[in-house]
Amino acid sequence: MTTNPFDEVEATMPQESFEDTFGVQDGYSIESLPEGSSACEVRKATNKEIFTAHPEHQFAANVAYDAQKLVFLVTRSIADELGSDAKKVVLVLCQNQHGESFIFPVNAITSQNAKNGWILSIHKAISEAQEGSFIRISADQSRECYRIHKIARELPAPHWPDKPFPELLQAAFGDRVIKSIDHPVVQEIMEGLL
Amino acid sequence: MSKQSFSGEFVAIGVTPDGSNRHLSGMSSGLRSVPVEQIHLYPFGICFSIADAMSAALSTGIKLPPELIDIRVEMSLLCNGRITLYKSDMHQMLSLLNITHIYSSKRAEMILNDLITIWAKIEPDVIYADAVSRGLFCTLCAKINARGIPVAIDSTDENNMDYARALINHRQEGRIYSPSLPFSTITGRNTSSSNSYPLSLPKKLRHWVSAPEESVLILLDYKRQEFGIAAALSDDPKMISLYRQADPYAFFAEELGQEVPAKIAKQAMIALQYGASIHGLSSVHSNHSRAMRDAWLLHRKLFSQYWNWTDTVIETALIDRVLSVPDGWKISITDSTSENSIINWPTQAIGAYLMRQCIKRLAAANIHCVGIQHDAFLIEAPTHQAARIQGLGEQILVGTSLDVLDSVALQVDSTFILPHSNLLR
Repeated sequence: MTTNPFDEVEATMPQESFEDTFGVQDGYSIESLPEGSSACEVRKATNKEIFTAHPEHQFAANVAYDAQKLVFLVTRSIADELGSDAKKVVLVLCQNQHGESFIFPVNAITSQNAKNGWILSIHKAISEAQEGSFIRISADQSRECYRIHKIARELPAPHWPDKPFPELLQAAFGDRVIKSIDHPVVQEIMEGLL
Repeated sequence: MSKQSFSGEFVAIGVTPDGSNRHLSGMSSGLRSVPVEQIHLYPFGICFSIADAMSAALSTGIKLPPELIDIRVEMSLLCNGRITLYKSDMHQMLSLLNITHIYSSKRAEMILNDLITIWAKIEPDVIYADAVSRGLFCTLCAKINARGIPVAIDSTDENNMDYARALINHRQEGRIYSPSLPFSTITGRNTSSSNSYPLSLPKKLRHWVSAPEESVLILLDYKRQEFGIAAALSDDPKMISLYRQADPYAFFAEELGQEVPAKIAKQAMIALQYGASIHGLSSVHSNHSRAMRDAWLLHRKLFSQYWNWTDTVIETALIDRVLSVPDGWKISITDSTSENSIINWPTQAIGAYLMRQCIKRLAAANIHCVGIQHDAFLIEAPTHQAARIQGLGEQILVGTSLDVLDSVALQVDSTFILPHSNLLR
């Protein structure tokens, strides 16, 4: 997986295309996406979800979380400003047992967390899911890692959205893209730091 | 699953209060009024509450149809407990089904019309044979409740006056008439009042349950029912072997080591079976937090097959969004259903199913239960038949558990209460 997302973010999600397609501006919301668009949620899988992952649709990026734990996509320059408040993640397209697609922000492996059981086990889980398995994850507090439950039952093959992944990401994040230091979430974080 | 439905005319049975009496009334599915003495001629009847209909029928000597369906129970099952079974009324049901209330100037006629309308709406989703089977259990519970539990209350015991008062409010001629309510939990277990149901009383007051003149009481109860059911459902060899040959809780305490008192080890083991976390256990037993972590690990190591089985249960629940037992009692899995509820449900629901099967078999053998509680059956028998009924009752309980669980026969404890004696003497 790529751990230096910004070139890719900017290369794959050119701002011009993003804005042209969806008219991102202040006050823009998911609800104002063009008719027919269905946005995937950006969230972790719950322990009550059985899911698989798309074999190719993954995307390294930086994100930040607001006070309500909503995920915001962050540009490289802003991520530099935020330091450790911006998280390096890999955005992975997943689908659960009910056919709902979602984008799982998996914390990237870095030199700081390379021995963290939670991080390593979730990457192992995603890797198994990307190989076609349906899995469920649950927290194993005694070992401080995720337990990976491979599902024995055969489930119908996933029906992946037919849009390119960048478009899915654009729809999923909507206006939750931080491009400026003046963004309210950045202000919130900075105030928190102060 | 192919659905068995009922074709042909049926009768809706209503109960209306009239002072201290209750009146039965009937209406055919063709909306014709049915004289009460002809109600039993219909092969099948629907009631808002079988318990109420049975109570009115028993007090007036009116016969009911051989097959009955309790609309409240079916509604509760269909809406996954969104209707609180024993606190719901007809208006809530009509509203949930988006049915406009049918107007009638006569109350009894209105109830019967409403019942037929509700049944017409839910009938396509009901498996008739299962509903009738639940109806039979409701009928048998109503009969058990109507027999009452004989007691000799010590009303001079000042320390237990609250319990004595609660019981006395339900006492008539030396018996307590406090109901055991069928299907009143999401697992299908019965519930009863913890204050006024004699078998729910604290152990120290069980001696108030007392055999009357010329009868004996026999208390049959399954030993460690939930551990045995979980062992059988998961086919865990260690659990099965422990259930058959030893005291599982003593074994677990011993394996855990001397530092943890046996009582705490037992509590931890029970909690662990239902998915308690290390944090949860440690916060309850904060003086033994390290030991609770060991207990968590030990349970998973000793009973690995059980934990593999719970994974399968969770998978089934999450994929199918439903769990069920053989007579059709089920839970619909929603986003708010917790993982521990999912793990717990099959064991409890099979325990409830086992009770229903036992009650039906005991009744078929003409054995009269006067009380039921979780995994216990209180039987009243004429003194001269006591030994035979005790043996037959035990045989029915053990045999039914083997039929339900396939590989494990649950063990049964049997306590004999002679006339003028009680549960402690």
